[in-house]
Amino acid sequence: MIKTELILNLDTGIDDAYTIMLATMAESIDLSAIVTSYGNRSLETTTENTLRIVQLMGKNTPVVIGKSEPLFANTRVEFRGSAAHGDDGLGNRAGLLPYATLKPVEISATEYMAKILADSRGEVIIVNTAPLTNIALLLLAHPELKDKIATIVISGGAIERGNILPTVEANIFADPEAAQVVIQSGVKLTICPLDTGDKAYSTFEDRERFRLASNRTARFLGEVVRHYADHYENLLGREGSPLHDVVPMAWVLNPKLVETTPCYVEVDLTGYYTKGALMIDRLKLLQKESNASVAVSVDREGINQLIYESLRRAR
Amino acid sequence: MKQRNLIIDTDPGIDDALAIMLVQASGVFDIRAITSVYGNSSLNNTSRNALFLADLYDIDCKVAVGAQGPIIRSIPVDVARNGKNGLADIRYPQPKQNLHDRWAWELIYNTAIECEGELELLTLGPLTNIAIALLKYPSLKDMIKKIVVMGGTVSSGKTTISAMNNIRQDPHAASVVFSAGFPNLVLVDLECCMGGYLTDSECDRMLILKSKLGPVYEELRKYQRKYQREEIETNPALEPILKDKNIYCDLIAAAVAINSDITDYKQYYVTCETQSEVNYGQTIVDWYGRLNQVSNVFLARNIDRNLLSDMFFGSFDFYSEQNRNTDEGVK
Repeated sequence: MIKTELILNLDTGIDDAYTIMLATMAESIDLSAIVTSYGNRSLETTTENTLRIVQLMGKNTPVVIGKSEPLFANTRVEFRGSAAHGDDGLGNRAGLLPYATLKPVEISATEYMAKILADSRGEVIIVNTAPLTNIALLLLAHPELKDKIATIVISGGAIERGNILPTVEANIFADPEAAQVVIQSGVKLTICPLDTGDKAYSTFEDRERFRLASNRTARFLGEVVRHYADHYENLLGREGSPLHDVVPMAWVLNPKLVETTPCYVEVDLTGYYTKGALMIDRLKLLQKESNASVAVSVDREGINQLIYESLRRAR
Repeated sequence: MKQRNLIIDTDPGIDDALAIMLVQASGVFDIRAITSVYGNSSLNNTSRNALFLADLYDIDCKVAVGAQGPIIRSIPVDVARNGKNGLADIRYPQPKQNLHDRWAWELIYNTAIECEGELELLTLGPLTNIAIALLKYPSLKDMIKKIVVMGGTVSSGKTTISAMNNIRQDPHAASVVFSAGFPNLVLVDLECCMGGYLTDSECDRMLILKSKLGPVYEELRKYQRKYQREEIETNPALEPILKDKNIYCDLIAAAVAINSDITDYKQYYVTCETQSEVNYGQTIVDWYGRLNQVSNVFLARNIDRNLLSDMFFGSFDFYSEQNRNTDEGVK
């Protein structure tokens, strides 16, 4: 079987931790690297969390440290994920895991990703569940490698419900210019907006079933997701915890789980209330050529089943 | 029953024409004035159309002229939607009365004083006139019992990109109105209106009624059908939301003003984007309290479209009744 070469760009993060689990447990995936980014929390925290999760999975996937700040100095640096992810980014449960003994790769993320792309067959998928700073820098510094990327799959933007401002979602908000660079790059994109992620929720029963996978990964992820679930059940006023960052990975593993539609998208770089909003022209009112596939609905049960099956393969 | 006092601020406009008909036929309002604003067409056209509609519907009120453009920046308008004269290019007789000799905002303010807290507003166009009134007379906000605003679209994905003409044409005016502090501001947005559609057969059954509105309605309807067909041909993505659905936004706002029970309401803080190049004029609804503001708007949700259809049909009845009465009078 030819495996799909994959790079993750994450700001781990509770749902990012599930993404790592799905990627490392999937037999169809060759996980080339995990690049860390600031985002939900600081780069230091997200890097430590990433290392701990990889170690928990018993893997030695290369973890590469990315940028700690947005591309441009005029973008405020804020880590606004503590409400959803806890102060430590892992539901205030990171302490349940030992400190990482695994060491990050000592090469810059841009160079490391460039090398992976250069050495690849040319069908690398990048899954991005963080601000797009690292990916934008890669595309700016190595335009010659763009055609080695099959798709960039992004958790970001919002159709209706933003989580920073009414229409603004955190990953695009954190570095709107980087997002624009990626969107205008011409590389094939699949974008999974926040409110589509809202539909990919796990009920209490789903989460109990995850724990029944009965291994330390399942126990740990079952423990940390409670923080995320509490936050979102309170915010959205309904039962069920969305796992936003899982949607891109679910699409990579089984495209049938996520319904997408081609759209023209553009990042708002100038608004007072809307800077960092991802404008998604679902109705083609601008009559512009589409530049992204945008996820509009998900197979909720299918995604929960995928998580369960992956957890059963974990240790 | 005592009639409620109303001023209609409007840019007629095919669906403005239907909205004004509905208001007059309902009988619940004493229409104190119609104020015109640019929008669907130039101020000249909309003002003239307003005078014609007052004649057509036998509304005895002042018609005052308002702003001829937005406060800051003009944006292109799709003239084809309402025709070159703003009213499906129909030809109509010289209006009986002249335009009032004071500006729209002066008439609104003076009428508000006369009505002693009992004046309501229905706005069917860009909010420039109301904004100027508020900027000049800030106390106006406490003198208006209720203002029903047709404008905006609260979801950035489902309806238009992010903006809808009445707000997009003058977002600065809209933000003045939203932030003024009206105690009872009802917003009827495009997404809400999508649920208040009338089917083709619901629109066409009026065509057989014998009413003095008949010939005018037939021309408006014919024009609007043709436009809608072309709109779908140009952009097939619109077909699922427009096929067999006639969405007369202003008519829906009028129905909400007439009978508040026709919809549900949710309270939100609403503002609008005035700086963005991409989302200029976007209506911002703070669904989850990200902006930490007190709610300022009752957002209409879930229109009872059967009731709307009945009201619409009934307004034709009203004018055929009136026709009969007039005929008898002549005998």
